[in-house]
Amino acid sequence: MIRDKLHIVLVLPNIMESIAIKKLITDCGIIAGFSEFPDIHQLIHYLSNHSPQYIFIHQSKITPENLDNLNMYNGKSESLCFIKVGESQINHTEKLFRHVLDTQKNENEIMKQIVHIFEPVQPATRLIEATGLSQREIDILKQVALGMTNKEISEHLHISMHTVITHRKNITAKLGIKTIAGLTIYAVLNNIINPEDVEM
Amino acid sequence: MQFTRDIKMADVIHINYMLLTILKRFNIPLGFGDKTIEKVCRSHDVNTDFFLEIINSFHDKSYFPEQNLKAFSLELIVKYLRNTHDYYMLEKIPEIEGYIEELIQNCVTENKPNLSMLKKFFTDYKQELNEHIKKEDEMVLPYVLEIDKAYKNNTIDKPLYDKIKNYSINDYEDEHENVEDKLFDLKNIIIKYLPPLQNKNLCNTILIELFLLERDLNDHSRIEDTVLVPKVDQMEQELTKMYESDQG
Ligand SMILES: [Fe+2]
Ligand SMILES: [Fe+2]
Repeated sequence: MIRDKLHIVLVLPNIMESIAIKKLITDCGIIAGFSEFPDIHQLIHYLSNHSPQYIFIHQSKITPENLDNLNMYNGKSESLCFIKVGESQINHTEKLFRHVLDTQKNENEIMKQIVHIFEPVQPATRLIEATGLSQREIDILKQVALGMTNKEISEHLHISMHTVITHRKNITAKLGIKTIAGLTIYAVLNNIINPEDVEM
Repeated sequence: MQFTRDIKMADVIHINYMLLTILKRFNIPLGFGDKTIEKVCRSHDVNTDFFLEIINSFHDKSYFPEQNLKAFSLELIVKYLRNTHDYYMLEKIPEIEGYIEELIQNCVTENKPNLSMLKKFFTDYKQELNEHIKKEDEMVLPYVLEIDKAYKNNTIDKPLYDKIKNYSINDYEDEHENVEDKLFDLKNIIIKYLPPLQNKNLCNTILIELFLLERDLNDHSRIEDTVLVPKVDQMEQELTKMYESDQG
C-alpha cells in the first residue's frame, strides 16, 4: 500500500518561516516532500518540468509582473493549488490563490487553516506506508476487525481453520498487535474497514 | 547491583528514580537526609528485609529471590499488593486518562476521531484491569488471609476445607496475559500507526507513562504468580492433608 508522497513547494522569505510551516504541515499528519525556492523566478523555472500539488508563496515575494507569469498556471491543473502566506485579504488580481494562510493568527487558528487547505487530500494518501501484509492477510484482518470468529472466517473465505490461525499469527507478528480491539484500530487507521462498521 | 540496608536512601533514588513509586507504596516520604535504608524503614515501621527484596527485584529484573520473598508473611505481601492496586486504579490510570483527554481537547486536526478510538481502547483496558483487581481485592486476597490465619493457628474447620476443595488459589488467580496484551497494543499503535500528533510532548508523556505502568504491572504480576500463588498453594495442601488425617 505504498502511495506517492504529496509534493509541496515553498517560496518564503526566511528559514524560520519555512521551518514553522513545514512543522505545522507535518503535525497535521500530511506526509510530503518539500522543495524550496528563494523567489518566484526560480519557482517558474522549476515548474517547467515538475508538477507539485501545493505551492505556498509569501506575500513579500509577489510582484505584479511575476504574478502575471504565474497566472498561466491558474486553472491549468485541478490538482495544483496556490496558497498565499500573509495577510488575509486577496485583491482580485490574485485569484490565482485558492487559500490564504494568515500567519498573524494563533497556533490553533493556523492549524485549522492548514487542515482546511489539505482537506481534499484523501486520508489514505496521508499516512499509510507499507504494512508488509499480503492481500490475503488484509482480507483476514478485515474479517477479524469486523468481529468474525476464526470459524466464520474459515467458512467465509473457504480456507481451513488451521490456515486462518496461521494467518492471524503472521498478522500479529508483522504488526506487533495482539488483541482484536488493537487490530480493529489498525484496520480503521489504514482504511481497511470503515469506522461505522464497528462498534467503537 | 543490589541495594543493601546500609546504603543511604537518598542514593537509592539517585541510582534509580523509578523506585520513587515503590517508596510511596510503603508510605515513606522524602526528606530522609543521609539516613540509611534501614534507618528510614525503621522510622516508618517498614520491614527492611521485605523492602529490600521488593526494590531489588524491581530495580534488577534478573534478580528475583522467590525463596526469600516466600519467606515473608502473607500479611506483608497482601498489604503491598493492595497498596499497589490502589496506586494503579486511584493514581496512574486516572492520570493517563487525563492526558488522553487533554490530547483530544487540544486536537484540531482530522486525527481527532482516531484519538477518540484510542480513548475507547484505553477505557476498555481500564475496565478489564479494574475487574481483575477488584476480584483480587474482594475475593482472592481475603481468601489468602483466611488460609494464612488457619495455617498459623494450625486448625482447619469443615467450611474452610470445603472452600479449598471447591476453589483453590490456582483457580482464583486469573491469567495476567489479557491485560498485558492490551497495554502492549496501545503502545505500539501510538508508536507505529497513529498519524503524527500535534502535541508531541503530551504524546511522549503518555507513552512514557504506559511504559512505566507496563513495567510496574509485570513486576506486580510476577509477585502474584511466583510468590503468592505457590505459597498459598503449599498451605492449602498442608491444611487439607491435616484435615483429612484428623477425619481419618
Ligand atoms: Fe494484583
Ligand atoms: Fe493479578
